[in-house]
Amino acid sequence: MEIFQIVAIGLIAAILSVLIKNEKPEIGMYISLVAGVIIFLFIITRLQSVIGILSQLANKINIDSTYLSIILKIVGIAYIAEFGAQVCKDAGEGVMASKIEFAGKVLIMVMAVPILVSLTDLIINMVP
Amino acid sequence: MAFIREWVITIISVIIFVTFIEILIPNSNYKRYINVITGLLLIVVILTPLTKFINRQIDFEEEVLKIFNQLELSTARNRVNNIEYSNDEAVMALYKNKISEQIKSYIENNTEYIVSEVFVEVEDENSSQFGTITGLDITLREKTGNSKPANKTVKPVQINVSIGKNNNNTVEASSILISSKEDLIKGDISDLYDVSKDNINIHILRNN
Repeated sequence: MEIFQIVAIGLIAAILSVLIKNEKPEIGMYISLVAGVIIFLFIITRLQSVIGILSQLANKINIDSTYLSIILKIVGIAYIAEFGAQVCKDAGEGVMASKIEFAGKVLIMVMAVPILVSLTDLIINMVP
Repeated sequence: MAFIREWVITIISVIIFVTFIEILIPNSNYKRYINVITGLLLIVVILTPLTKFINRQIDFEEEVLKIFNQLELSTARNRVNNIEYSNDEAVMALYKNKISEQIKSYIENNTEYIVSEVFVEVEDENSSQFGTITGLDITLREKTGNSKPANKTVKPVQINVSIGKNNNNTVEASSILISSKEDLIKGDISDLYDVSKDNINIHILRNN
């Protein structure tokens, strides 16, 4: 079971960083960062297979691949931005974290603009 | 009735799909944004069959691609205009790369060919039409999966394909296929990017 490994990594990292925090707080940050990256890499392969299955599902029902790729890109942007922002917050850099979140939001909105515009076009064309 | 049945099935499966996506979303304030976009997509899915009742056929996918392309173009223009980006060539290379990726995914999703190379020619900075595509050179390959086993009596032929002024590349293939499919793809791409058909070159290489 992967969850045991992941929880073990998380617990060990948490204990280590708590132990070391009094002596050298900056090393505690490194530990949590590295543990975060390891867990992320662990789970990204699983996520990959889930996304593969989702795209198979989308092929079966009649969704255009454009929509699927847009949704998946948005989910990916959300994940990565969230990960970066959390790492920054852990390091005590709340300002940097909010900048990353801002960039993520803008990129998500950029992905949404084409859908919005063509939907408006569609509705304008439909109304006589 | 068959039309309504299909419509209902599509809507229900899209709703299930969206619910599944919602599980994947990280638990954060991005959730709101993603919900808005999935909601928009749901509206699109519900409305698309209704376009059959009006005379005009609207290709939604093509519209989305066109707007993506416009966005890329304006982003490239803004970046070049910005003083921060002194290296225009890098920005242009990025822009060309984005366009060729778009074309690649468009062709590979809609036809049975694999894109092996795309060359994009773009108006340069001095022109007022900066950023518009002036020419496209696309090299396609047939998918290897459904090709017949190679005929041993025919030796592979080296074909010299020279494109533009400074691109002189050699492609190895048994023969070049010239067919009406090329024209179809040309038409699609010229609609999508507003490039005249004369400026689009498509080479199709046969595997067997």
